Amino acid sequence: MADLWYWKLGFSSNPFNIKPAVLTNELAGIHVEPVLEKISNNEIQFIEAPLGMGKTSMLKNIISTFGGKKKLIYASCIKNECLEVTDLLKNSTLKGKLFGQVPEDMILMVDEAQNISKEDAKEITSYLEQGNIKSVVFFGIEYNKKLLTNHLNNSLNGNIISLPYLAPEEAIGVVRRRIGNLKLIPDYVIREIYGRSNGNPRRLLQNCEDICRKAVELSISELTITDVGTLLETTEPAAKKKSLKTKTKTVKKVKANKKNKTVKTAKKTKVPKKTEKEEKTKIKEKPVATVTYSGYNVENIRTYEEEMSTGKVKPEE
Amino acid sequence: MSWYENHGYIEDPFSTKKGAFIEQSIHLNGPTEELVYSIEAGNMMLIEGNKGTGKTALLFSAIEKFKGERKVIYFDCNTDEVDIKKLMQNKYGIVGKLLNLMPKGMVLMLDNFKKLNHKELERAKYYYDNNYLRSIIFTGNDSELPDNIRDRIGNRIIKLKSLTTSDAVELVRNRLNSLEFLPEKIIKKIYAKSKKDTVSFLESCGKTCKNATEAGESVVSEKNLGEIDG
Repeated sequence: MADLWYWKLGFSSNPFNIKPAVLTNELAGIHVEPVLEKISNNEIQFIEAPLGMGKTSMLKNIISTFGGKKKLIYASCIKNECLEVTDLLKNSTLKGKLFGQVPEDMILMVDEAQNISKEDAKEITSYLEQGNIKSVVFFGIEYNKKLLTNHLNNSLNGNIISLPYLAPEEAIGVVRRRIGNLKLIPDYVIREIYGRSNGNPRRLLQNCEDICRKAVELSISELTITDVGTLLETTEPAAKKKSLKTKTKTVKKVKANKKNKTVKTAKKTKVPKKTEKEEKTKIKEKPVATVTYSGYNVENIRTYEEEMSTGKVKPEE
Repeated sequence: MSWYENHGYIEDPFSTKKGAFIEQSIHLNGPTEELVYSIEAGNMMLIEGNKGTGKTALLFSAIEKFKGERKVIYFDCNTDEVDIKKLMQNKYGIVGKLLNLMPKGMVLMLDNFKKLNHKELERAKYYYDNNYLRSIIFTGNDSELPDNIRDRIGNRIIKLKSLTTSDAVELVRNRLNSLEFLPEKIIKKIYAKSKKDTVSFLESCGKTCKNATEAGESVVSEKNLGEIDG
C-alpha cells in the first residue's frame, strides 16, 4: 500500500480518526464548563448519551484539566465485575500504596456507568459520606435509578445531563476543523453525510472517511450529493445494521421451527422482500443522479430543520 | 523419510501452521489490502469468518507488511490469558516494566477474542482511545463484542468466505507447484469431504499423499482417498 488517500490529500495521518479528541482537544457542541464548575462545587453528576456521542471525549477533556494533580480517578465499569473503588483510592497516592491510607477530596470518574453494580454504588456512597470522594461524574448510555443507591439518586437530582445531538453547523465545524478548507468536500456534502449519520459524530467521521477514501480512489476532485448517495450505498451502516437484524431474526425463527420442514419456504419468501425494499430505495436515489453541483435541484436539499428532525427521530426509533 | 521428501519438497507443502505459505493465498489479497489500510488509518476492525477460512492467515499477511517496525502485537487468546499492559510494555524490555513506559501507536491483533475477558477488552478500548494503540484487529464473531467496542468498529468488518472448489485447486497447485501427483479430480473430492474447512482440507490432502507414497504409487488415485475416511 504505497498511496493512502490522505497522503494524496496532504495529510500525514487519517484526519477522520474516530479516537476521541485525538487530533484536537476541542469538543463539538458539548460544553464542559458547567460540568467542571459542578465538580469544583462538589456535586454529583450523571452524563448520559448514546454510543459515539462524545462521552469519552468529554471525559478526556475533564481529565486533561484535572490531570497531574493526583486528585482524579478514572474507572470503567464492566458488566458483572467489581469496580474495587477502595483499591483505586489507595493506589492513587504514594502514602496510600505504602500505608493503606485512603486519600481525601478525590474526584471520581465512572465510565460505562450503565454497567455499575449495586455494591460499587454502595461503596461510592460510603466514601462520599466519609469525605474521601468529593465529587463523582458518571458517564453512561442511560441513567437508571435502580442501579444507584438512594443517597446517590437524591444528590443526583437535577444533575443528569444528556448530551445533545450534533447540529448540522457543528458537524461541518467538526469536519472542517479536521481537514481545513479542503476542496474535495464542500459544506453541503458534509450536511448530506450528516443527514445519513443520525446526528452521531462517530458515524459522521466514519462515513466521511469512507467517502473520501473512495473519492480519492476514483480521483474525484469535488464531491457532489449524488456521489454521497452512490458511495455510501455500499457502506451505509444503517442499512447494514438493518440487514443484520433481519438476518438474526430469520436465524432465530429457523432455530425455533427446526422441527418443521416449512422453514425453507419461509426463508425464501423473506429474502425477496428485503431486496424489493433495497431496490425501492435505489430507485428513489437514482433520479438524484442527474443533479450536479453546478445546477442542483433545490428540492433535493434538505433544510436545517428537516435535517435536525431526521437526525433526532432516527435514534429514538 | 517423509512422503514429501520423496517428491523433492524440503518442507511439508500441506503445512497448516499459522502463517505458512501466506504469500500464496490469493483469495486473501483483497481483504489484506483492506486490513492494511485500516491499520494505517487507525481504525478498529473485525474479521469474521468460519473456522478455516483464513482469518489468522489474513492477520499474518498483514503482519508481513509491517515487519521490522516493532509495532505489531499478535496474540492468540485461545492459548493463554492475555495481559495487554504487559504485552505493550514488553516492547521496551525490562526497562519499560521498571519505568512503566507505554509505547504509542502500537497495533494490537487479538485472534479469537471470544476467550478474552471483558476487563482486558475494556483496557484495550482505553488504550485505543488514548492512542497507545493505533488500531485493534479482532477476529471472531460479531455478536460477542460489547456494545461500546462494536460501535467503534462501525461497518469495518471483513467477512471471509470459505474457499470455492476452484480456489481449493488453486491453493493446492500453488503449494505443490504442479498437479501431476495429486490430480484435480481428487482435490475436488477431498475438498467436498472437508466441509469447507481449509485446515482439515489441507490435512487430508497431506494424508492422502502420504498414503499414496507409502503404497508406492506415482499418482494419487481414489483408492488412497478412501483410506482417509476409514
